[in-house]
Amino acid sequence: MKRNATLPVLAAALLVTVVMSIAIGQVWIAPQKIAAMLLNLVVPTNHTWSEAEAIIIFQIRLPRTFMALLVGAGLAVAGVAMQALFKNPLADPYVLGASSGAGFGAALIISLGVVGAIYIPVAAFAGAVIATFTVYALSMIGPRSSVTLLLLSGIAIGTFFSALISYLMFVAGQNLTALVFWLMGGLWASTWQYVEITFPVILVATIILYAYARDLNLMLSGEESAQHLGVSVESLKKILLVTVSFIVGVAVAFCGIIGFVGLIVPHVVRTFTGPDHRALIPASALFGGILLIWADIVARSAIPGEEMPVGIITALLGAPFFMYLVRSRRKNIF
Amino acid sequence: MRLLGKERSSETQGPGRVQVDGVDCYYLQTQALNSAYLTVQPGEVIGLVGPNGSGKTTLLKAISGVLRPQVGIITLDDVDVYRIKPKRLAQQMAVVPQSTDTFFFDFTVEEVVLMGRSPHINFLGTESTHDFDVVQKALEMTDVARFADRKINELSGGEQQRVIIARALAQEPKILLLDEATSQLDIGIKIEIFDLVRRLAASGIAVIAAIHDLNLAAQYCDRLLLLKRGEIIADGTVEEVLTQEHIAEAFGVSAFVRKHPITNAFSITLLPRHTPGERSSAKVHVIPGGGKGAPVIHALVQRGLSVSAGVVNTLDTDYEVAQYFSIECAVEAPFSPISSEVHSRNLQLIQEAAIVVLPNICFGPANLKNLEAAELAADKLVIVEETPIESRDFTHGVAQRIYGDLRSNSPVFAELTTLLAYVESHIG
Repeated sequence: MKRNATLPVLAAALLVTVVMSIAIGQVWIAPQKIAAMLLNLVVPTNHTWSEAEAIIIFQIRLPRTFMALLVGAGLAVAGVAMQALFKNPLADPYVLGASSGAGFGAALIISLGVVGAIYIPVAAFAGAVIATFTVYALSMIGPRSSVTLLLLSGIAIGTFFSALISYLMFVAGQNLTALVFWLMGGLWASTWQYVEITFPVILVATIILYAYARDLNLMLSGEESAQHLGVSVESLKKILLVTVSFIVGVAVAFCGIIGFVGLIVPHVVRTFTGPDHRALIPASALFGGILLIWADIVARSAIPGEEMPVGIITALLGAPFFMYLVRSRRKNIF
Repeated sequence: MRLLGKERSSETQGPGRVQVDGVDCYYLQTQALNSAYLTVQPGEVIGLVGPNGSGKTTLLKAISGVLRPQVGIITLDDVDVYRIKPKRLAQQMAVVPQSTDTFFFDFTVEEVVLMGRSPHINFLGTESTHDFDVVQKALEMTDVARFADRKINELSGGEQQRVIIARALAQEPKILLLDEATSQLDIGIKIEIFDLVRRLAASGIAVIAAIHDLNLAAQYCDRLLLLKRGEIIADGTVEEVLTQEHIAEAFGVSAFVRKHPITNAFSITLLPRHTPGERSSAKVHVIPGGGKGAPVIHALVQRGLSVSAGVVNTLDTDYEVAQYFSIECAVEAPFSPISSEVHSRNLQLIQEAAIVVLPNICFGPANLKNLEAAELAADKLVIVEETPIESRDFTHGVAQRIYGDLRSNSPVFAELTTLLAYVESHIG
């Protein structure tokens, strides 16, 4: 693998992004204050900040920024894995119907008016896992799963759950706003508790995908060729599906369905790392994190006093950018 | 009990002997292979030949571990290949598929060939300098080293195929499976690749190759398997397998099989389908010799006429042609004078014939009886004379005298086309 400057540059960009994310908001907090505050965690420094600022940073902006980082990174690496598995540039983490399954789980809880912050994520996660395994079961031909059937049953299950979601919205009544807002995705609810659950899942999932980076490279030459080169294709598929359904389950459970990150980040990153997954996966994780943090900054500060669902931003910026990419870099994608 | 001992794969591996034992394979409900048996020894080059859909690819898939047989077992060094982990199998067996799948993303040639090393690299390990050395060697052997930094998708189909062959070589396999690996390549590269295959075999690698080109298969394989509709219908040396009967059975076409006079290699020429004796029950008898009868026999058979020939010596080209068209024939042993027994058989054929053709043959003491036979054909006789009899007489004038009589009493044609016109007008 050729070493290049991608990872250090992205790491530096991420650091700047995190600081900016903490600084920008209804109240501007100067980066040097943030640096001092963070430094204070290690060695005591002069208090140049107010208590209110400390609360804004530690209780609101920091967990929210971490959530954006984790979910963005998770969706990006999940997208990388799905594109390799399907050998399809249009594959994304939601291709297996996990997002619709999760959406249905959450929508059910919201429309039933069940109270309690923990029920929505639990139901969403359950929905994601159920959808993924249904899709996998439907794709089996004898002892093997067919990638084409996987894709088709993913579409079928996704459509099915989407219809159920639409039905719930139709009958939702006063809960409709909450439901719509949740389905479009957002990070406003982020707490340290969310981060504590999300962090280990995304970290472990990313490490697992990175560990199979070489196998993912081989998958790009076709399933049979991959097996001839020593990949245990069926086990790899199961590992990828389980890993991706965990990433999507957690991401959707806490942040709703944030579109486009998992689709465009792998394509963008590929243009400067090349197709080797050993470079692509870590770089996509960093870039996905950076992208979602910035999208969230825009979502919460574009309209003063209002908060937009971040899914609107990612789709609004993502779609044209993606088209630009497809048109200008056709050769690399297809 | 070993807890931390790492298994050294190279120490535990056998010589690489593949055995296919009574294997039936299905694609869903469709049977694609029926009761296949095959043993492959190290260093052997085995060619799989047969028409499209005959099961060549299926057999390779079964051996390579991607299509589990419903019946029977395939072993590598006495272990069921479906019980060997893919990684472990890939250390010993490499496959070059029928067509290169287009690569979804653009790897460089070197990166693609480096993928061939992955069965030898530990989980989470990285490539060593040894791996890069092996890759370099593989690139050179397949003559793609100069493309090493190019993107695979920028190369032509033939170049891509060589890269995939290089990747297979980078696996350092004991068994190499080639599925029509050279079909897309031009003839020069084809020969280069198969020369390489022979060198690999000489170093102890077993090669199993599905090959469409029968001549290529004949030239490079130690052994051939001829398949038809999922069955192995012939298994043996090139001479044993590539017979006219086998080719007709498998492909439904007529072929002319012979050893090439220069290379001593097998050469197979496919001939148009013929339908002997359809047009007329009236027979034409040809008196052949020294290859001069062959074009006449061929032309007559092509026109759907019923043809007989004699007397001809085995080993004569005319005999081969007569055999090929399976026409009635009076046959004498090689270089022997015509015995009276064979002579009378010939006369019988002449008697049954409506027209007797005497082509532009040479006469010597051994075949003088054929001239007598021509004489006895009387008014049925027609003569093709392309060169004067003086240049064809090796009997000190005996033949010339008889031929002179025949010539004055029979129609004489200077070329084959006018003869054919005459024959057709008389019995068409």
